[in-house]
Amino acid sequence: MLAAAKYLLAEVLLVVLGAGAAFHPSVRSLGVAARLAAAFGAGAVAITLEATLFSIVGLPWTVGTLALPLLLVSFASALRWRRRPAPARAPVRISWGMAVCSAGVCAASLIYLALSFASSSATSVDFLLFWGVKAVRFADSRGFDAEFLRGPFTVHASLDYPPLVPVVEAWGCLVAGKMPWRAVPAASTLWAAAAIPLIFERLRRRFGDRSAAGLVVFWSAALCVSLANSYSGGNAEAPLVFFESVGLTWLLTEADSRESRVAPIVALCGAALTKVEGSAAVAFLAAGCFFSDRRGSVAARLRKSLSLFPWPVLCVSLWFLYQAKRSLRVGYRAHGELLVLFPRHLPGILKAMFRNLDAGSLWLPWLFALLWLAARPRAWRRAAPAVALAVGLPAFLAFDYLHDQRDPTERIGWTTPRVAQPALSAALLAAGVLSTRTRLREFGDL
Amino acid sequence: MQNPIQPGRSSIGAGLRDWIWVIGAAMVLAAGLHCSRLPSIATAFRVPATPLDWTSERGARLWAFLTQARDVVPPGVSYTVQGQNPDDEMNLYMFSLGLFFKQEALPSSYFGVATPGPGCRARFVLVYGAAFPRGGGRLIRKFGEGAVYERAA
Repeated sequence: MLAAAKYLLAEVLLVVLGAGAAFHPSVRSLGVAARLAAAFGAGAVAITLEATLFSIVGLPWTVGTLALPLLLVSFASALRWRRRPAPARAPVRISWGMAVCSAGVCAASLIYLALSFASSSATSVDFLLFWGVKAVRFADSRGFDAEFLRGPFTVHASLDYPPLVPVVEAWGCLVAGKMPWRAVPAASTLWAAAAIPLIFERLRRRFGDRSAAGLVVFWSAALCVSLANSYSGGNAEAPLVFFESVGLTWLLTEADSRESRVAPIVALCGAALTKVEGSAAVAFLAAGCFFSDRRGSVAARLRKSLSLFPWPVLCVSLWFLYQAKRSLRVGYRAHGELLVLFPRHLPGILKAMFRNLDAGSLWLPWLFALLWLAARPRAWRRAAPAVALAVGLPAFLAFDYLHDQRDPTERIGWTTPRVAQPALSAALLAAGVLSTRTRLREFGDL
Repeated sequence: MQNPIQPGRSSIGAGLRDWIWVIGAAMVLAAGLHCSRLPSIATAFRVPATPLDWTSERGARLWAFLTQARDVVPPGVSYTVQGQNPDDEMNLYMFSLGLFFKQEALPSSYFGVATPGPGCRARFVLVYGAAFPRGGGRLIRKFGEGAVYERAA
């Protein structure tokens, strides 16, 4: 039990390691919970980059060597950013009835998720097969374990996957002194809990307090139920949903072209460092931003959209650099030849994907989102980044399944409920945008 | 606060729409609870014996066996795992990599393909089920789900 408590403390300590982010002017104007959540996400990204750098140059991971540089950088960033002006935060204005009902459903959803994870009814088997295995091995060898990553009998461990989840879990192991296998899935709740205040604070800029509360409570219920139903305890799904949803919400609620993109870029770096699909999500979001932006020439819009790419690419390149330095296979492993497809599986794939998109709640969240999307097709452009992710990710998955020579129905059954969650999140956020008559002066929506 | 974004004017329609989201959220949560795999409330608050107790009964048994066997296999030695079927054997091997990280894992099979070379070199044999270890060995300890054997050096 002590190790479990220490592990959870280590995860919460990520807030301290990324505390500098809470002082960035674009984050400082948010509420306390949202600032802590931003620091949590930034801490996870920062420790992953630092741990990768350490492994490249051969510095061993210890609690001290990992924490101290980040604390210094965080402190310096906070000192620098706190001097910059930031817009004041308007108090939340919401009726008691709405506040109590929203908070109640939100809390119930989080409690349900936490109990599902803690009771072992939503543990990801992948956590025990490779995410946790990599974490415990990396913690034991005080860095990425190149021997493990090149072993002939470890290829099942998705050795090419980006390192954020193993690093964050290894950090927990270093602090706890061992891997508390039964507690780690419960810690995945933190990601869902952290996403809620950040999404709410950004949504209220665009939708107003009441609408933001309504949408965020729906998002919380849908994603908490889905994460529990898809056995996402301890694996990379909860962090991926966090990073992609926060990045997307930030982009959807940008006020003007001068607004800083530091926060969404950090979130997209987190997505790219979490899973391979995270990099695909960056591409979908950038494409969506290009279509939703109506300001400036095509070249200027293209330039602005492409500006989302360099940092996530750089982050993933750091992981590839480690692979190259240790003579490991560099890059991600493809599922077959890019254009060798088996279209005869397409009807079966679509049927199986539909069957597995129930999100643990009888397709209700998808139905809600699709109703709003169908009701206002002319307004899709306003929500283009969300629509691009909501449509693009399932299309990307279907394209991946088409590479299977054998019937992929079984693989769809154990992957789609998990990997389609960012698409569900995006569909709900798109529906939120379309369900309001929000007017954005500079977006020309008047 | 200088907010360039102007939320739409509050109206009865807008108020209703916001409540639709909240009511919808309650419906989603109710549907989720209806379809939930969570055991009873009392069991949900109990610490599980393995990370897989309510996820996979078979997986939980494999995990429980390995955690028992872990105390018998000293650090630094090599071990292999043997199961009653290729699936169990592969799962045992994959789980063991996280639990036996101080030891050297040598699989007896990998994705159902026998790997007698590495498997036969292992000093300790973790046998899941009632079978005798392939390649022989001296019984070190027996558990409910299996046993650990040691081969002569």
